[in-house]
Amino acid sequence: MVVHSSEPVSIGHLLQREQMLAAISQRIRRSLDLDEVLNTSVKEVRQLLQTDRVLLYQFTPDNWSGTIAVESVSNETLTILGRNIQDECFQTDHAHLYQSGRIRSIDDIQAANIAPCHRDLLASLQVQANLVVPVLHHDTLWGLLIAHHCQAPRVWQSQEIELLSQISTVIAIAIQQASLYDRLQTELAERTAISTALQISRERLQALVSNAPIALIATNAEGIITLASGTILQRLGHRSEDRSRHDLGHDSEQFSADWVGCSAFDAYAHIPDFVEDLRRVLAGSLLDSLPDSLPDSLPDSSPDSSLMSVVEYEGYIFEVRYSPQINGAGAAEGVICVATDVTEQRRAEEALRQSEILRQSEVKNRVLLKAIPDAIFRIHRDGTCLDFKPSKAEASETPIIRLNQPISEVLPPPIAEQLMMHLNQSLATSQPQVFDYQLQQGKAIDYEARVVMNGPDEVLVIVRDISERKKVERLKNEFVSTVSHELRTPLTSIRGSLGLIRGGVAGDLSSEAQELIEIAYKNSERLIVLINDILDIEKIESGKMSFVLKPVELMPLVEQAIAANRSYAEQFNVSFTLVNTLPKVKVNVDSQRFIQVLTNLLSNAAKFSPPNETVTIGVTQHDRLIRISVHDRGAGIPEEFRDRIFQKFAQADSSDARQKGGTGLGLSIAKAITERLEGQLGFETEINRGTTFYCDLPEWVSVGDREIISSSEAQSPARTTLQTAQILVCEDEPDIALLLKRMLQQAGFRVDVAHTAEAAKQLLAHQTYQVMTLDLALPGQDGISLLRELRLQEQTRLLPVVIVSAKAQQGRTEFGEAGFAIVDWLDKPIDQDRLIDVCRRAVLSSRNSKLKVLHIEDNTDVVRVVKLVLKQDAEIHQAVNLQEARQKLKAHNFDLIILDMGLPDGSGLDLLPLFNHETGSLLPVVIFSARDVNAETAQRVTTALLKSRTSNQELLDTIRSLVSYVD
Amino acid sequence: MTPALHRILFVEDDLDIQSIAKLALVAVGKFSIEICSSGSAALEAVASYEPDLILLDVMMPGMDGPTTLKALRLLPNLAQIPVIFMTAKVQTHEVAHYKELGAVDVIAKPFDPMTLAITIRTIWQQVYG
Repeated sequence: MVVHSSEPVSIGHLLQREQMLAAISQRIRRSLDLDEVLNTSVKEVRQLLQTDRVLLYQFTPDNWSGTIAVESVSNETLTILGRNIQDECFQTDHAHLYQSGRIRSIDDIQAANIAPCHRDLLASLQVQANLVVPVLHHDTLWGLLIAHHCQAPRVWQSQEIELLSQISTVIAIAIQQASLYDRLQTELAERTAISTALQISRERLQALVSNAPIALIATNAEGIITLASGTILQRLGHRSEDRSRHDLGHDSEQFSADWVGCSAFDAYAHIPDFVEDLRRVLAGSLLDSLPDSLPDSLPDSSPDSSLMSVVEYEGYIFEVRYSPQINGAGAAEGVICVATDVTEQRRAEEALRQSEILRQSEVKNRVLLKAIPDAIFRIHRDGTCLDFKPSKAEASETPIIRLNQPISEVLPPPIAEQLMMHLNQSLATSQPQVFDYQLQQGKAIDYEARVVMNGPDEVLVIVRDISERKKVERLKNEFVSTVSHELRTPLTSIRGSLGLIRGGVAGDLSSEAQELIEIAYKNSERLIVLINDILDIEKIESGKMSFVLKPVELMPLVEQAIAANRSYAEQFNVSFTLVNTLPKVKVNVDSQRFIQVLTNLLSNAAKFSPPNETVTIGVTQHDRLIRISVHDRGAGIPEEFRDRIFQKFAQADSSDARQKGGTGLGLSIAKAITERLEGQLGFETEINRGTTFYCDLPEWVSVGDREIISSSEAQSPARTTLQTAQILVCEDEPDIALLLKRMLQQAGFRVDVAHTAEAAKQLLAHQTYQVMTLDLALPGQDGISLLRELRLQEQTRLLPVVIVSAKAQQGRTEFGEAGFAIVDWLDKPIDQDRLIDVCRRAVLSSRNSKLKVLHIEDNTDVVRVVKLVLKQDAEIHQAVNLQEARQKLKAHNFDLIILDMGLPDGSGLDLLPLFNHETGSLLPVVIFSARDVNAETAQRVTTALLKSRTSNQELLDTIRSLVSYVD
Repeated sequence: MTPALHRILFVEDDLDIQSIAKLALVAVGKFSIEICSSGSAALEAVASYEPDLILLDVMMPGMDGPTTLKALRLLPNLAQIPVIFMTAKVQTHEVAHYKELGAVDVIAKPFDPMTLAITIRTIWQQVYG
């Protein structure tokens, strides 16, 4: 039974339908919420059709099953929203029909001609009549808009069918719109995500560029900078004028603006390598392979080392990587350069390499050191051994010295003393000092010690066993001596006989015999000279020729030499004429050796003069230089011979030696001697006109009362003498402090007392002390802790410290090895002599220089001798009379006085009261006089020495003992 | 006033040199001399000969010059007699050594026989001058 909608379609109804359609359309256009649109639409359609169910069935893609996506049902009707429909009967042909726009209306399910399975499905959904309209989306069947009438069959009006069809079109639009919107939303979301990721990546890059030690420089194809960024731009030479306004370490963008737009070739002209590489990369070339200096690891770390280079600028090293921006045509549109500051890395690598080299060289040095046969010691200024390497021979024996052991404990006192003297000398002058000594080790062994400064407070002492050398030297000396003796003995007879015959002792001779005797005599003479010359050369070369230098008047020596050679010259019919003289001028020479030089020049001149010629001798002065010239009118010296004229056995023509009777050694000896006299030997010569040989010597100036004997005086720095030495006594017990003070004052020291460690530190901060005595048991901070503190401070690091304590022995055991550089440990009760002695030595070693001695003596020669004797130990000032002595004593502090009694303006003894120093101490006074002193005088001075009876060694020993170089 | 120099004791082991020195001292120098060929002979001769001066060689077999000098100094009345060494060993240190021993001077060999006497007289003058 089919129920027909009874009422015809009224105008009102039509209007209502139009309105609804418009409302739905509008809603769809306005709203983007598809669910709402669809729900509202199905609801309104159901109301309008006054039916039981309106739904939207959506197909599952690729499969004709589907889901009830939207539904509107009446109260009595079963809801099937969300149900998945597996309609086996819905065949593909149906789908095709729907797809082509078919609308299917069934007024009565039971009566309709449909598949039973379909009917069953519809029945299960309570459907009696249905109207199905396809929803096509992009010509694809999206789904179906279906109206179900469930209460009874229903005849669908064409208007109703039309309406549903129109609605389906509108829904399709809504779906399309929604899908578009969705897509837009997705795209939008994707875009946002991309943009966010991009932003993050940008920020990361920026952070990287800002914080990493890199610079990013981009240019276009023309090399114009398009970007310059990074923390190290500055190091590449970027400067920002308004940089001061930014904090250091601030973002580097401030630099980038500066150069953007400039040509990189101009901007980086200060880094030519970079500009060059940039040009090549922009031109499409590869870069050279990396320089050799690069560590091997680097090329590996770079993906393409041919686009990487290393440039340097102002001490920074940059690794620059180039990424050319290639366009489609394969040309570079620009390049991005990333410069990394690898300075630190390179330095570290370099340091590593250096340390490796150092280590290898250290190993080599160790091996070398071991191979050295000598013993080597590192000795501290205070005389303790810091390190040592035994000699090869001793390597297996027990060590000769322990670390930190004073050398005085292992060497005999005189040798230890000698070593300390050279040590001080070496530290004071930074010149290596060499001395020989002998030790009795079962047998006598000779050693040579070489003392070389090795830092401000230590020396290296290289000790070599030279016994063998000494033995060879002795043998050689004996041999030379013996040979010369053995040669001379027969010569004595030959020359003697010839001399006697020649002198007519054996009666008159025929002229032929006379001539033959002359030849024999002349050659025996020559042999004698040759032997003497060979001995001289040997001495000069072994440095054993001794000189006794004395200031002497020059002219008498010249005249003596001329006289001695006159008869020799007569053989050649040559005469000597002295043309210029300088009476009174003095030179400081060994007279005998100097005459030897003149003799050589005169005899040469005579030999090489033509007969009946005159040799002219002149003495002239140029400033402080005295020239003795000997001019002959001989043939002159051939050009080719001039260079080697002073060489041994040098003669212009080898036949000369025989013709002229020379040995070829004379000039070589003369030159060596002249140089030892601090002079120069030279010549001027003209072929066929003659030759002038000259000997230049410095004039010896009697400096009289202004004389400063020591030539090093001028450079010697201000010093502390014993008399001005300040000693700090750190002692809490007032009585002992006072006792120490008195003892030290008596010895001439200036003394301050500190009763506590605190007070000592204050005094040390404001005053320089040469020595400190220290009690170990102090109230509050104890002595050792104070010492430890002082040793850490630069100012007092090396301060000589003498421990004076009842616990000295204990302290020595406890701290003796602790390396505090303690000068000595004195027990209480105090041994005054030892205290003073230790302090004196400490002062001497701390100031590390020579004694200052005033020698009051009018005879300058005596002063010179004393100066020579004491040159290692003392710096000698001369005063020639009482008046000058008084002045000098006022102006300087001396450590010791050497006094002559007979002075031009009175007796030296008159000065004795002056030597009472204001501190109450007595300056040591040594009388060194030709006259003996009487007992009374002897009591008033420290020592008296008689000039004629005192050897140099005695004088030296006396002076040394007085100033406590020696224990 | 300088004492006169007449008698010289010449101590020398080399016979040739003995002959030459004899001519130089006697024929040229007009001295009276006694020649000994060894140190020990000199020590024996010195007391009887009573020389004014001794001219002493250094290198001699048996007792050498310096030893002879030391021995001479121990003899009565001979401690002050001037002794001149005449030797070929005249290196500086050797000369210094002879003087330390008490020699008044040293004459080097080979010597000039024509001037030997003058040299000795000059030394004599210096010793007593």
